[in-house]
Amino acid sequence: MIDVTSLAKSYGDLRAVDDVSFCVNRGEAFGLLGPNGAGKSTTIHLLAGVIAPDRGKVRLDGADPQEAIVRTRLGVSPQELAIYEELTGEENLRIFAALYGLRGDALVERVHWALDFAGLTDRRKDRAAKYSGGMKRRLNLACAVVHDPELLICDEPTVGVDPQSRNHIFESIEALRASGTTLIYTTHYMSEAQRLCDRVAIMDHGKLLAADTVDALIEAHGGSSLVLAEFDEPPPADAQLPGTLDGTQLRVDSDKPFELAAELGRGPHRVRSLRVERPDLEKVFLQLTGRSLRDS
Amino acid sequence: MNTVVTLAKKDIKVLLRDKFAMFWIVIFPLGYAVFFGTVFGDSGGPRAGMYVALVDEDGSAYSQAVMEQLAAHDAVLVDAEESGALLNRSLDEARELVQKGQRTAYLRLPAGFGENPYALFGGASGDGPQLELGIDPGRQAEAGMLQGVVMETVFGALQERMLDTDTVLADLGEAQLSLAEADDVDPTQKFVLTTFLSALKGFVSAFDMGQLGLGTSDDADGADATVGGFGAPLAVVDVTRQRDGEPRSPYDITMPQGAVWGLLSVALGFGITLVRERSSGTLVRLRMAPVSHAQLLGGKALACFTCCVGSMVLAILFGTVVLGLRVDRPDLLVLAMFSTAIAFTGLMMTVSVMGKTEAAVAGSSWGLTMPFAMIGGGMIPLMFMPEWLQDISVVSPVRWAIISLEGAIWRDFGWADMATPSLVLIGFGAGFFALGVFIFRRTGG
Repeated sequence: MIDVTSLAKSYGDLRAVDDVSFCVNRGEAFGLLGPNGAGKSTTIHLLAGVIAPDRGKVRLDGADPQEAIVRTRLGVSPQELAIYEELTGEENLRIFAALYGLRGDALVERVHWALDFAGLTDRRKDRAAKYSGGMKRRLNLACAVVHDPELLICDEPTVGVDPQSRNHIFESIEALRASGTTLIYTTHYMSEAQRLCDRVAIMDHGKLLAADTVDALIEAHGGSSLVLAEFDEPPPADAQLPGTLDGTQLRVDSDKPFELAAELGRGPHRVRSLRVERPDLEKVFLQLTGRSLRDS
Repeated sequence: MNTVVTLAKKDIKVLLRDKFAMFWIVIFPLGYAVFFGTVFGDSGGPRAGMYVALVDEDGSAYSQAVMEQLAAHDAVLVDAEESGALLNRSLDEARELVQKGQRTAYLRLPAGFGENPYALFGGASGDGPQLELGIDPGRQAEAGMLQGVVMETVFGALQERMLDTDTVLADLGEAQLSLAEADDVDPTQKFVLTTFLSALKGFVSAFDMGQLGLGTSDDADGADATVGGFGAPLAVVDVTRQRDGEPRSPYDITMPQGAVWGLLSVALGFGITLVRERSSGTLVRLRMAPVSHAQLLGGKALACFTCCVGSMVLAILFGTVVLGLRVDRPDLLVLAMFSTAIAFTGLMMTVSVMGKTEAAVAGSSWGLTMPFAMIGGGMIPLMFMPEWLQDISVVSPVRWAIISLEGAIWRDFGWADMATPSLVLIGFGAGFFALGVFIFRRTGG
């Protein structure tokens, strides 16, 4: 559905997006994972046709999203709260519905749907300025989907959101996915990418480092699993054990963690607890960039 | 077009809910106009009351008495000489003052008016010389009130005359003499009237008329009531104003000034909303929607234009209803408002790109618009400025806005007179708008 080819955008000496290519299939959920400043938002702006690339191209079913008519198929929920706080929730939705060409009964119907989607039906007559942070985030997302887009682009939709609203946003997005909406989702939270996305692209310093399913990325870049065992008593110093022993605790990196765990259980030393930590996207990011996602 | 209208409605709604902005757009301009209009009005300038020029062509004691009664009336102001005597003007002089709007009306007491004060009781209308009230036909309310006041004073003067025994005896003597010389009166009637006048003369001689208690000059209701019953000794004459207009009241000057302050506030308000949209992210969101640059700016311009017109209409309506402002040429006022709104919409566009933050735009835009207001007559009326400053003021859209509004309200502009300020204002608007759009696009919105 979306084809991105050799996309590049610079601001002065800063290469915000550097030769990025990927494609997103219809109905797929595609994650852009990377730290702040990785180039995710610039990529989103390029996808949405807000800015023109220095090089490369973006095509939505073959059409350029810089053309206004093509953008009617997109819905974008920006990272910043892009709502009119002086207006009510309903008025905000009506404006964006109208800008996307909805009129009359269709507009009214979609606005009611979006209010329900955002859980704001009871507060629809209140000015957005009076909403909580979570409610504003939900309205921000609702404004992006009020016109029923084929492709929804969410740029860090859960930043600064309380757990309740965050869960509401997740459930809402999952419902959209279930209804067939294609999703591009940027985040620097690995758990969000793992939960929502079929495929994930990892970005850093404007470059797309890898893009695949979560399992494939871990398989390719996650490295070994970690096996953590705790014995009832400290094994003797000359015990034949793999990994690093610290008192009663043993840490072992292994490509076959479950086989190793079973072997430890059968060994001469009584095991009190056993834990296997599989590599995750954090580890993938560490492997690819040499630094932690949280530290970036 | 739907997109532009949707954006404009959104911008107007947002502005209307900003109480601070509404203060500067609505309350401040009206307060400015009322405050300075009142100050100017109390400082010796032309007054917005019923200022009447007096023309006494009769020169009799009775005409003098009528004028003094009029001068003493609370609702009327008349000119007086330094000595305190009432200023008697020529008819041409008085008519010119009314034509220029410097006096509400003139009252002419024609030669022969004092010869027969009792003509009021003489039956048919048109008998004897009539008083003449010259007033602009547009001042119907003042005309009606002045007719009542004049009749009240005429009856008041007549009443005073009838309280003076010597004057009444002299008048009765003249009447007896006239009756005796009359050949066309039926002898029987002549006898009856001669007997009546003799008896009346004897009656007046026997009493002091001042003690009869015939009422006081404050008995205004009685005077008013008699106007219709005694014919019409007062003729109302239409006085067409000259084309070289003069302000009729201080509000003629301060209302356009106030309106321009409202326009500056509208332009600045919308200029700031554009940068606020940029900083809050809604501008990016709008650009992610199927909205073109042209539609985006078109919506902002339409909203600003609408609010400019609305602000001016509100100011003029307030001036008309509350301050008695009168618009000479409503058709030209529409043109003046249209061209002025275009100029300030263009100014808004330039203002909106004068910084990247709200504070920067607010600061730099005041830096741009204050000099425009200062040299353009927004603070001190153009007519009070030195000539060199008036020459410089041609670079200020404020000057042209004020001139065009004044032209329609009181300067007696015609279409040709209005063409220059209108074209200059439209030119200003186009220039400012083009500059703003150029910078907006160059900076990527």
